[in-house]
Amino acid sequence: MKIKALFVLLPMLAMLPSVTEAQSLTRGPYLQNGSTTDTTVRWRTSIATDSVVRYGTAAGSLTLTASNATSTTEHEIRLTGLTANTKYYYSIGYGSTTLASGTDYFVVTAPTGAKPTRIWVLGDPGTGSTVQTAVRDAYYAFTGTTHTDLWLMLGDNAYSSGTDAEYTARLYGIYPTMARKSVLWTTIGNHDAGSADSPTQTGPYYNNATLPKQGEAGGVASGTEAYYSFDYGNIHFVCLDSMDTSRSATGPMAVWLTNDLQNNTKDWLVVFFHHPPYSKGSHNSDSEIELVEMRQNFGPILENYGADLVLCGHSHSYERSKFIDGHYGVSTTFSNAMVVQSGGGQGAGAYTKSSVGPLSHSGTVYAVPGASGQISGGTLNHPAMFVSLNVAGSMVLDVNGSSLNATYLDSAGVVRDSFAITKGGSGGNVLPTVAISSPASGATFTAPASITINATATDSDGTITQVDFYQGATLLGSATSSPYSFTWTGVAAGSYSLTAKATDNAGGTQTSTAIPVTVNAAGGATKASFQEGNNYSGMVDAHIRSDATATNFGYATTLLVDGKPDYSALLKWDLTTIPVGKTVTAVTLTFNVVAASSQVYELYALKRNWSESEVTWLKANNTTPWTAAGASSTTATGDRESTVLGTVSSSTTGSKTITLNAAGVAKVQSWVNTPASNFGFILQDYTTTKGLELTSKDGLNVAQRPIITITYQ
Amino acid sequence: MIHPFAVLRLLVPRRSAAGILIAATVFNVAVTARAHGDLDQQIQAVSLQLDQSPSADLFLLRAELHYEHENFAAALADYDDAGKLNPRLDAVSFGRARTLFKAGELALARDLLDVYLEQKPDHADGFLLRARVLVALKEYAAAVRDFDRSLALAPAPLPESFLERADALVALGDRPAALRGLDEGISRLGNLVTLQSAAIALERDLNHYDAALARVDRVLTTLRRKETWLARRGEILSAAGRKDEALRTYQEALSVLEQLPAQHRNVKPMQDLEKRLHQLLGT
Repeated sequence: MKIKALFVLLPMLAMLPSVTEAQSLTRGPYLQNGSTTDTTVRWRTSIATDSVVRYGTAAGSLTLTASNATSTTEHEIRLTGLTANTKYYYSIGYGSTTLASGTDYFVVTAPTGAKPTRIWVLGDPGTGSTVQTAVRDAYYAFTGTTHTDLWLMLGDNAYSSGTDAEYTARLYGIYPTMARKSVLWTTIGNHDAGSADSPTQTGPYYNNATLPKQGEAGGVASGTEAYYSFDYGNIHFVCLDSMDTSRSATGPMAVWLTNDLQNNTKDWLVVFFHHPPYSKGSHNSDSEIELVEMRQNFGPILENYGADLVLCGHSHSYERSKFIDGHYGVSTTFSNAMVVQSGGGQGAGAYTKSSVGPLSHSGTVYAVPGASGQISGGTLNHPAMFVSLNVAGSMVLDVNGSSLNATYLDSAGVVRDSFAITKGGSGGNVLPTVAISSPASGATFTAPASITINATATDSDGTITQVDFYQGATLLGSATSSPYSFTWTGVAAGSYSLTAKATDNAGGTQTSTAIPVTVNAAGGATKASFQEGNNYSGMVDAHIRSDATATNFGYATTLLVDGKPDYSALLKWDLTTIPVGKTVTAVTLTFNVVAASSQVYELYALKRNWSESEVTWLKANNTTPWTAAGASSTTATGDRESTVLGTVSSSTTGSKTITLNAAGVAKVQSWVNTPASNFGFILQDYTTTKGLELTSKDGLNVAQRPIITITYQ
Repeated sequence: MIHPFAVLRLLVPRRSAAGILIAATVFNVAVTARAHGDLDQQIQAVSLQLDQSPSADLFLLRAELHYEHENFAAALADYDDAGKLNPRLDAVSFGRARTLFKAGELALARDLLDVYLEQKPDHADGFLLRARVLVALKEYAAAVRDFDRSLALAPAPLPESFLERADALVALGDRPAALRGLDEGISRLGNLVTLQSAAIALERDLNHYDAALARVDRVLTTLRRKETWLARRGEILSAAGRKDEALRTYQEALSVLEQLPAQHRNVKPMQDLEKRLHQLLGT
């Protein structure tokens, strides 16, 4: 089935049990512009009808009605006069006919004051790819029955140019169950602007959204859906338009922002827009005007009014800053003096602010969770960042009183980063600390394994009430007293990611760093597989091209090998988790063949270091040229060895596994024994005439990335 | 040989609005070129494609990337090449005009837009762009006409357009018309602080202090926190020579500020305001 067709079908399939005449419901329902008293319900039908929403506080008793007699296919009903922090079930339809209803069709109105709040943050999600759905599914598994109070989209919500059909398929078609029960708040990205226009507020982005232009959700009226604000509980959210509205420090958006922040009565200030002030991902905040202007013109305003968290997309990676203030120049001007509090903000080192409310220049975290639909790499070396990962995922925010916990959840459900901000000094709950003390990272077991997970957990201002143990997003078991331990038995062969989550007496939680372990099949030999993104992060690859001699293709999603013009692929895996001294007995490489070639390409060992982000046809890195262009010299001081370690040829697309010859096994053995000698492989044959194309480690589908499998004893 | 997947494919939708067409064209290709998302790398990637398979769409794409990069000469050269390959590409004219404007070639930008808007008389963005060009050329009367046209065509314009038109009218010396224009914006977009702030400044210029105060009061009804705008009210009263009322209003602003929960008085602008109010009150 074509992917696009699948997306169109998905929402209908999801609603089958509770939908009558589903054939006429083509989008939604989805919730917009929620406040303490009002929420907008929108949906689309294939045939124009009147619009009716029936609602009530009990699922089986929808006694209230809001309707519009105008015949339309674009239905938009504002429920008004609701009670704050209350759950209302609803149905949608026309006349007396119900199109959709059920226990998962509900609105929870915003609270007037603080309450534990869960927020889901997606950056650049709308690719329609398996990455997007994997990220979604990982979050759904993570949040389980915990309600998502609201969700944010940081722009580029529907690729590739934000058309109406793309919105249907790649936003409403992907998240139907979330959209009907949690209010979505969006900002415009450059791809959304492909079919929309802020100066005239036309196009699908604006047509599909109902956002608060008149301050109806708590902020100061902006008069536009391009930039706006709203309140939820004790949080004030501000959405800016970094794409298509003047970013001048004295322009209307800046004037409005200043007035809006002067009017803020909430404790937390969370700001979101598309173009990140700090990024060295697939976009560069030193050179791109949108990013530069948002940093220079809006950064000072936001920090002056005590912004706690700034969320952006655009770069398709995950970058999360230190706790910083006052950095408005290019990356080379960043200094440690701009770090308000050192560390990563985890556990006892949670970032702290002395006031519960906004506090000027007291530290802001800038996060770029822009990889909710794809990853695109980059140098990922902005000095303001504490964490930079080329890993797909989404961000989860939990705000509980004077604590904010943020988690970056990857597409496999593994927590890849977390930090906390607490406010009010002794008034705020200090989060617990937790770490897995055993097994060790990278530990191996033999199936059926019995793995005892031990964790240490402490709480500096209270007590630990529970420690939960997880494999990925799956809860394995819990312990309520020290020593915190759980034994997972009967574990089958495979690779696993273990975490422990501690909860303190004030309800604060903290999740440990993930510990990867491997369970090998019984039989004496250990078989270890390494695939980027599959509980492993240690591969680099690139291809080099004679027809683009100065271009780096380190972050291409495919590896090209060919002759005339000449292309080679370079691949290297970090194998240091295999203990030195182990005997390697077999090595296989598995590729996903995108474009087949029956011609034979040879695999050689490289003899010199190279940089994934710098390597080109002419140079191994920015400062060192290859001995011969195309990394083809086999001399003593050359680029590669002359011994063939294996060959690759595939007349069909799809998965292809090759087995290295004895020389190949010996070479990998030498890399295990002497990791510094591991410069990886080069796949090369410049005498060929038909090219081969392989998915790279930057490929969107993790399962299709190259794998090296090593058997050792 | 040419690699089967090495050449990025372009699926460029055609739209009536030139600006939309440009953006869509750029972004469609930007997706395929995402592996090298940095602007320089995107330009390199498109250049590589152009070497292999020149097309108007690719030149247009690279022109947009050069424009984003503020390399206006390179952008104009690519627009020219795009136009040669496809003379009917509307986006070329609009893109060239926008680039010329940004590059300071105002007369050339205006001439190009004159032709373009004759062919596209319903393009709100086109009129907005020409209005901005005309402002830069100090041809304010013509600029006002284009702002009028753009605002009439745009179903939901941003506050910016009303503010820029007001500035052009002020440059013509017609503050009353500027005020009427801002009130039109308030009527269409709501009681916005952005538009009211500009209108209050004009009312003060015209010594219309009561009108300015009325506007402040209208804004105050929408705000949960009133201290900043109360201080503003005091300043207008002071400028109007109504010193006692001004002092009472400053005192009211200070009281409101002091009644705020402590955690909402910790931002520097509030601390500065408190200090300034004390100075004005001599306390």
